[in-house]
Amino acid sequence: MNVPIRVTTPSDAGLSRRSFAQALNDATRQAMELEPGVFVFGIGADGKGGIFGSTTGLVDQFGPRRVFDTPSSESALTALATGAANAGLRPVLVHQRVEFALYSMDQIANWVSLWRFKSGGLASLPLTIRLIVGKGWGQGPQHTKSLHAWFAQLPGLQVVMPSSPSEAKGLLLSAIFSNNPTIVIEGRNLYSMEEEIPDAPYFIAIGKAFVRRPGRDVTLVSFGSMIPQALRAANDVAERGIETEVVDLRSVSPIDMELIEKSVARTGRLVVAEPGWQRNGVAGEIVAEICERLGTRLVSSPRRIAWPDSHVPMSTPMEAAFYPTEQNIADALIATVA
Amino acid sequence: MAASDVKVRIYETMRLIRRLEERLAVEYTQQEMRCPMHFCIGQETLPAVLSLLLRSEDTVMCPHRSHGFYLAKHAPLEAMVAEFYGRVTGSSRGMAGSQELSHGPSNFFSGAVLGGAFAIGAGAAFAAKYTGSDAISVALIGDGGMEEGVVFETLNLAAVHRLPALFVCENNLYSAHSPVEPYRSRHNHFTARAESFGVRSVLLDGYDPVGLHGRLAPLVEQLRGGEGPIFAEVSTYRTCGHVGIDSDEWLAYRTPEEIATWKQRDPLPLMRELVLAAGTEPAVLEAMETEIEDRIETAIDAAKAAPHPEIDQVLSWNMDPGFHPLVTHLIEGPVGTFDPRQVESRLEAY
Repeated sequence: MNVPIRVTTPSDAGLSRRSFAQALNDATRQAMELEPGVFVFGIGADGKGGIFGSTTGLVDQFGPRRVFDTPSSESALTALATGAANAGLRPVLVHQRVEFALYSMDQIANWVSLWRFKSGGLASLPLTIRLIVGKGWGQGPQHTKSLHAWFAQLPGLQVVMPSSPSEAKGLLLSAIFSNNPTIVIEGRNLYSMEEEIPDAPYFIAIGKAFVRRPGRDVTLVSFGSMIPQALRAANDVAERGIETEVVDLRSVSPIDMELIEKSVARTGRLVVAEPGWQRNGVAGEIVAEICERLGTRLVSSPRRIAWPDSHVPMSTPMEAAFYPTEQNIADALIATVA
Repeated sequence: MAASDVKVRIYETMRLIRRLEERLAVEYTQQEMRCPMHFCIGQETLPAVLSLLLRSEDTVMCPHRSHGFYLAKHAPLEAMVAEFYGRVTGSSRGMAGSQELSHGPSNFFSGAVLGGAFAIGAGAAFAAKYTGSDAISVALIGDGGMEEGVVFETLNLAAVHRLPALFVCENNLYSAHSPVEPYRSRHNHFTARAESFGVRSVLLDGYDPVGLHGRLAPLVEQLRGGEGPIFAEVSTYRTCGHVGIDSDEWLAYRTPEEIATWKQRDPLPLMRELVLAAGTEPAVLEAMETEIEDRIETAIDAAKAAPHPEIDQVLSWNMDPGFHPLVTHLIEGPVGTFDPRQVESRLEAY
């Protein structure tokens, strides 16, 4: 039986049906209306395409001083964001693919992530970097990486991964208004998916997971672009009488281990579905931590569903064979309960 | 400010920097300052001149050879020395040391990985322009750092946005222990590179304090008036080793004769003579110099007596848990109804 997902509206204002891209757009626009120090930049930020719809129309409302296109100079752009955030502005830098941000790894690892630390905890960098993960249509090895585990391992950064339009709006608003540098990693495959979301601005806590679907038999932790598959797999196995508790991490840095621990303490079983490489990934971190906390109270071995140890192939049937499926997740859920 | 006052003030700051470096070099042998230190002996002129031209709201971002520029922003001497001793009274509470020396309230920041500070300086300039202030940003780099790609990205970006940035390359002829010449494909000045991006560029002499002040003062005013960015290549020379207190002459990357020649041109004693020639009484000068010695000794003594931070405190300094004041409520539970059976986005031709 499909378990309906609870609706919670954070305010009395209305709801509208929005796509993931529109939700990002709404969040950005509202942030810019609320705070004059917010500005948005990146390749294509002011274009008609509006970075797949996420920035469309912003330049018309706010002008080129606050919404602007950029040269392909990711390192300097990130440094510009750093200098501006250090001065108290709230920059939002957008990269159309995670890979492009790699040009700026010196800035991210050697400056942004440790700026507050090396000031003795006195300085802050309230900047946001949005990264988009490509998937499908032969994006290939250079346009498909997620690398959330890399960013999540750096102390000093928050890394959030919205999984639906309501998440996109609330997490992007939080990222922008957080005083800590935050990386928002978005799955391109979610962009056209829709959801009724509150019209008014709202802020989702960073570092707190939530239960998307309650269940007593097995805890399924997932995040970002894999949440739709996780929810579908949970609904599939419900027909066999397996009730899955689906936990949406919301952020991979910090990770809400407390909530996961509470859930697994009840179910005794853990599956983690990660939209990234399994080897040395976030799923491994969660399994290790939960085993440390709960150890012999686990009823069966934990399982991870994630990408194989390979780059992503371009050729269409190979691309399909590469990515984990709803069935893979369902099989893991069944196996933990067997 | 009267010309004679300018000379006195420049000399005073040069003297403070020089004497601080020399005293620190002696104390360093006690091995209580345990961080890499890149002294700037011989390179005092530029920071001393800047100390007269910069306001508190101007930002300075510089690489590892940071001591002079910290003082150019009038950041507190005691916090600087305490930082080198790793004390909680340090300007970064002992987390940064010398090569990442920073003092936020003075808008002075530094960091050692080459090119990064230079690039971040453009961000400080962007913020000044964005908020409509006439503050400027000084972004420093060495001749070695000029080879980093982010430097060129930054020059282009700053030119496009007409940022109020003073980009300064201190060319002291060596990148650590390597001469610059073999790694420069065309043997012209760095100004040629900046000019190729449309950044107005000047060549300045870092061993001529009065001349440097005379040329920089109007450039700073032009930057405040919106005529930026400007790139300045400042010729200079360090007579100390690249890092630490040991002489690195054994590495034989430069000759003793070359070092001796530059020491003969030392602008500090020359400046002292200029100040006396301009009419300052010797007794006044000596009193100033004594006061500088006292300030340095006081800072060293205070640093040695100060406590270190605590580890639990330190571990909490990585993240800022705060939000903008308008955020009064953070949602922890679900927000919407999401139908996971929707078709996922299909990419088409990009």
